[in-house]
Amino acid sequence: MPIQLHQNIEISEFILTTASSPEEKNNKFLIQCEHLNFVVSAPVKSLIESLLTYQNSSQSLVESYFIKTRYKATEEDIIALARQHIPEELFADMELPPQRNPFIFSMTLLPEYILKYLSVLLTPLFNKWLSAALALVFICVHFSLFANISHAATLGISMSTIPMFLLAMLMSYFIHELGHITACKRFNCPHGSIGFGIYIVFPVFYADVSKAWRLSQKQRAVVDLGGIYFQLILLIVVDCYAFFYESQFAYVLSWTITLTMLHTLNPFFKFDGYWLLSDLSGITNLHDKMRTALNRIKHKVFKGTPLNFKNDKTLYLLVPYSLMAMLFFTYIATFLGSKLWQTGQEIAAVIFSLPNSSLLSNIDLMLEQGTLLSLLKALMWAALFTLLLSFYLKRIKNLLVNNNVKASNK
Amino acid sequence: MNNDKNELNTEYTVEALEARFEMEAVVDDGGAETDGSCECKVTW
Repeated sequence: MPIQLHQNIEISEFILTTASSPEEKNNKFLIQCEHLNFVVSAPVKSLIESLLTYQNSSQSLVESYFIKTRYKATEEDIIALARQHIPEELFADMELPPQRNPFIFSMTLLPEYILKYLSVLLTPLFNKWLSAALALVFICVHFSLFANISHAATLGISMSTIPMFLLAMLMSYFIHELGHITACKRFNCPHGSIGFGIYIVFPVFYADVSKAWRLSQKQRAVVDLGGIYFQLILLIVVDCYAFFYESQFAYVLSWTITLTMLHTLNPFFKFDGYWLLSDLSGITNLHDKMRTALNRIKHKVFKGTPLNFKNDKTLYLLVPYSLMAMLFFTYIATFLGSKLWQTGQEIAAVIFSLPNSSLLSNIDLMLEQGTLLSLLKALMWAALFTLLLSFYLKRIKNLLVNNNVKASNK
Repeated sequence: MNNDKNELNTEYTVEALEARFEMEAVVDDGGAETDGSCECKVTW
């Protein structure tokens, strides 16, 4: 056999309900092979199907290609087309690459084989009427208690309850991820594991729902909101407990969970807000396309080159998103820069207040005055601010300097 | 075939989709402080 694809390739329609033209709507297909996902046009899909039919039947490649496409071609031509247009990872002679993830470090906490039993039990929570009712209850309870919740947050909790508080927060993160997994299960879509990782600089909990690409845009949006929905149910319980037992601890917990829910809607990092925006708009690989958009805006501003986007939807969504992301990262970088400057001044003030020129000879004095600890603390913050600032500056530079020529042509 | 192939070539598009990891960052609102202050911050 001259050419062979991996056997476990799955082909489905990639339906874009927000497509701006019928061609765009009906002409995209999803190719899934293990953890890999590709959106391909109809000719690529036909090529893949021809090859798979050829592999699994007595048909010749020429025959199977003709049946799928109505084009007559020689075997050499078909093989050449396949090698040119089918992603190389799909060929059986290529080993599947390991799954690419956005983490610096990651570890699985709950594997898929355990989660599948848990998620089955929870799928009734995604009943349309039940979820609407629960959302309504949440709005009534949480907003009526919000004054108490925000007031409690200013008072804090006692030191002795901190371990319990951390445990409760861990549970909240876990429930959030379970929400994504259960939403997948609700639509009979396979899911991955729940884990913990470091994303850029954030410690994060994550749910692997890579197979969710096979769902419709609306279903994917439900998967995106599944985490917040589960936390919202948790908040109803926490709020009721706080109200009936007048629990300061529960009020503070409610405040912190609310904050994490809002934080996860940030669309500029790959949190839930990013996926929600991507799925609702139908713009895939949003971050890559943001780079392209910023590059085109740069060329428009400096060289007068037309923006030339594929359609108006991309233009009106991607351009504001990209500019806002740029502003967001610039704001954070400015904030970190000012904090670094402030911390630097504090360090300088401590050092200049010392009587001797050598820092080492002042250690005893600093220990006596208690300034050594403040100095070490300030140095630690300065190092952290420098690290974060360099990260954000690098990110801004990456957004502005786009070396991905291929992406810019899409 | 060559003409057909060239015509078809323009329609051959492939886009690799990114892996979907739904993430939630660990956020701390400083609620554990007992001095009455409320500082909202993200723990890095």
